Amino acid sequence: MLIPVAALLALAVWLWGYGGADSVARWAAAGQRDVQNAMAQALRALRQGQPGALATLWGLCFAYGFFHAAGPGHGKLVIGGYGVGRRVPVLRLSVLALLSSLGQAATAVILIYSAVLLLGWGREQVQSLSDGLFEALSYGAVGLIGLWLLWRGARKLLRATPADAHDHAHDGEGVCDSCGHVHGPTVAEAEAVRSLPEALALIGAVAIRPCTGALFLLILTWRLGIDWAGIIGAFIMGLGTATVTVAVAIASVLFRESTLMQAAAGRGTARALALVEVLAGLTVALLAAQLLMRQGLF
Amino acid sequence: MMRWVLGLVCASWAGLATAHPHLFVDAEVELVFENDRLTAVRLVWTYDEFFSLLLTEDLGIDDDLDGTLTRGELSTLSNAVLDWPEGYVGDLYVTQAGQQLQLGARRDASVAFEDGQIVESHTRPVEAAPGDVTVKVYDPGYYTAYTVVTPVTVSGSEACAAQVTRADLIAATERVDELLYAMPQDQAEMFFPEVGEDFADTITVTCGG
Repeated sequence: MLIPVAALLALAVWLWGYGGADSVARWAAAGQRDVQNAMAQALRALRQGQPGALATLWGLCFAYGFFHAAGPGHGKLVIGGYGVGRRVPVLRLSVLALLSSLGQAATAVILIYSAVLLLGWGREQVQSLSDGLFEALSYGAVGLIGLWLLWRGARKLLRATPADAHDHAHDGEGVCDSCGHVHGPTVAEAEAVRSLPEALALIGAVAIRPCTGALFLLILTWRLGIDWAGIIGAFIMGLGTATVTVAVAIASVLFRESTLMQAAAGRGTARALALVEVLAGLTVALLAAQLLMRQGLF
Repeated sequence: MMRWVLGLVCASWAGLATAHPHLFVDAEVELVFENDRLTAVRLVWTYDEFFSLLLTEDLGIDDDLDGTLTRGELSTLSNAVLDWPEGYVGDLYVTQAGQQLQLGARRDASVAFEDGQIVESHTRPVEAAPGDVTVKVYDPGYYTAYTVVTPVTVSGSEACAAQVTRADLIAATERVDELLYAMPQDQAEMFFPEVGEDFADTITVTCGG
């Protein structure tokens, strides 16, 4: 039991730690403020046709995305929870993190321009739509991912407990997913089959909730008549955000792998793995439920 | 403060935007004393450039982006900024001996536009007993991040002096994380968590003698 408990503790430290008790917080707060002021200057310069203003603006967009993501954030939560709960190659998870951030930017662009072009809305309505409906959908999706992880882990745990370690070959299901990495290829195949819907669910859960900063930028550039500078800027912001989420993805995989290595030394590896999955799923589901409740929709 | 900003304060808490304020304001504070009693607080709020640009563009003013407004444009801006919505109490909190003091209605309210930044000024009367007070400027929802400009001016008193203690951002961020990630007991607290105070600078006024 020590390993799962340690895993839960480490998960807690990881959750509370990010954007939390360190100088990153102070740095991120100061950074966002400076970047925000500089972005206004760049927008003015761009509008006045000063050379180099576009590159400056886009550079600042990247910085804004980075600082914004350095605080507590829900995209990191999903990616990190997934990486801790499931055995995912670090490259794949990093790509997922990147696509999620870019998807978020795409949602912001689609949201603003469909509202602006089709409905003739002002900023206030666009903003409140984003904060209400989209967040609810997004947290709901995150919650489902958590429940799904929880269910998978619990199923494995239940099956692993009564059956003696290597009895699984006779259980008639053919594919054994309760033995962790022992039967490498089978697990790998299973993962490959599941990866696409999983990947889409993961990207969708993050992407559906656009960031306020991107919305502000898009509205401003639309008002200033420099639409494309803003649209590309929103995606660059997404790249800035992705630098943080990719780092979290890598950290979560490393954390999980090191837990696995310790567990592999003793007996009950499968059970430990399943427990980690249950704990991670439970954490993600609880967090999502809480975010939903905060909205008064739950 | 503009109506829609306040709308966002409520709306944005649901998201994680609370951890990232979207409006940064420098707050100049003047404490007016009479007979060693605090009688008024004069506030000058300077909004960050990005948010100022967002608001002026939304109002369709300063089209040439030169950072200056015509008289008519300034009047449009003033009306928008000074139109405090119902329920907005003004982000100013004065306490004395642990008791929060009642503030009077704002007076001498005005809006200026300087180098592309919105500057909102007003005075809040207060009736304090003689002696020490504590003053904070913050948005409970932390949509707006105020930074108190130093030094804080104390006028009308030789005996009283103000000192500014910066917010403990690390502790404040920890508290945000707790609220975000822990399971809260109280329903009401979930809807109105007041993290803004945790991010607030504290002005401590001590009156010697």
